[in-house]
Amino acid sequence: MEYILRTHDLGKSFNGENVVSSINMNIKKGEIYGLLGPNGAGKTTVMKMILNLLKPSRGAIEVFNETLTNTSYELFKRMNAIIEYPIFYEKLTAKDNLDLHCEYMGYHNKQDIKTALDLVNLKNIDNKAVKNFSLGMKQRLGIARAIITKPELLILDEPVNGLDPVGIIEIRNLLEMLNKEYGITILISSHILAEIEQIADTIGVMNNGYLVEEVSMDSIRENNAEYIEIETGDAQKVVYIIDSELNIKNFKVLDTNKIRIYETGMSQNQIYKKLMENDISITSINTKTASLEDYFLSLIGGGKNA
Amino acid sequence: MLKLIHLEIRKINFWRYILGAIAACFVFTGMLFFSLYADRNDLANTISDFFFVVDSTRMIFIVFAGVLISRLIIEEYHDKTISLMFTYPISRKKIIISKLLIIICSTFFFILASRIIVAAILYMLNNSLHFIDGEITIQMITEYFRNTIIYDLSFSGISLVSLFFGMLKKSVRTTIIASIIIAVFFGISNEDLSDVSISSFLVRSLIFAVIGVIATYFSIRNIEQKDVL
Repeated sequence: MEYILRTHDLGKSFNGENVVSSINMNIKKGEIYGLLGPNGAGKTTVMKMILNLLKPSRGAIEVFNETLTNTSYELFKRMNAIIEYPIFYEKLTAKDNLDLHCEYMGYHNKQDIKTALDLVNLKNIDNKAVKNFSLGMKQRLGIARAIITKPELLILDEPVNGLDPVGIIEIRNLLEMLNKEYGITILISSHILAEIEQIADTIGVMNNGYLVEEVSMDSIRENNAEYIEIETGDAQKVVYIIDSELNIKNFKVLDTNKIRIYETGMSQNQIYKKLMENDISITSINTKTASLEDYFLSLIGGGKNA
Repeated sequence: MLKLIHLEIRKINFWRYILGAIAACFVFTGMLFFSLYADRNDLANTISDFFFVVDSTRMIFIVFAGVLISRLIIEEYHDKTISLMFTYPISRKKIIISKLLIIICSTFFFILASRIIVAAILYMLNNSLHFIDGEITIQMITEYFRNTIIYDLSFSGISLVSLFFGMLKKSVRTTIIASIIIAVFFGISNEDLSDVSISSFLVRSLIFAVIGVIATYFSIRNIEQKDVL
């Protein structure tokens, strides 16, 4: 497996306070990697360290099989990014901004500027200074800037912030197209689950500065396809029955009256019968499909429930 | 490096700043000229007053350097565009040095050019209005310029001290205030031609230039290792 970016025990402290710790991220070539986490989880900090804007306090970053140092400038020809919100020279026009970007990147195919603007669907902006743009337009322009040079690695920090629903879909399609047709590896962060769920091949979940999970979407779909949820007045008894009589080990007690059974090969009916035999009253029993949201919440909330 | 300088100039609409500086320069020297002219009967204006006016344009361009420092460096930090610049495949030191070169070269050039222009204008005015006692010859002026040109260069150096103060807080206001203070304290060298030797000029110029270089060094010394917040 070829990795385009790996971090080894990466950490960052500000004034002695740990902001992110022991991040071991593995991004494969050609995939879309979704970095998921609530606000303040440390997503942006990790991305800034990859871009060399913040210097790691501990650990190392490996990009394109080279360890990132203070002076590895050549590597930056091969990646592009939007961090936090897109930053422009506000007094210049969109075209001037993109033109400057190409000059600094050492990229001379100037007609690609127009292609990029078309791709993000920005029109009628010819003589407008960027300071007059709306947030959504700036976001689109930022994406345009990041993709002009067709980098091998594209780092996007919450790229759909400020976009309308149609815009979100447009950008999602654009990213998928860039990924499929140009083979661009994309690292995208978001706190919006649905966004990541739809395009990512692998997700990394961050919470409180830690990467709590790194898992491929396929295996999430496999593992969390279905579960049976039982609502009952007497959870303890139910647990006893399913554990000892039905020999189900993969289950979870959500609160005092909700139990989820993840084990496959046991039908709802079988469980229901067994519970009836033992004279346990239940309020409801249902088969449900877990979305990423549940999975995500179980990871984020894991600390509290454990 | 030339390319970087060119791109920097493109970014900031450089000509507007130059026009502003030239305008300020003429207003300022015009005021000084009129005060000389108005006092011509009460006080004797000497040749050193003549050169005082000529040299005072330095003050303007030290502040001009402060404005350029704010625009080219401090504002990039303030507007966070520096975090864009620092993700380009270009060494951070090179980026900053290209900016500093613009500042030093244009400050030096404009100090020198404006002094020559102001001297020429005053010389012509004096020929018709005679507000200076004693004779001023073109030879005297060229001699004076030849002796003080190194001073112009060292002033371009010391104008960088405001970068040091500006970088502490990444504040435009601090930068401009620092440059005004420098301008007021160092801007005018009201030297009497007769008792200033070239060597003392050199020593002072050198000290100024060294201060400028040290201040710059301290402002950007860790730039490759620093976090960009």
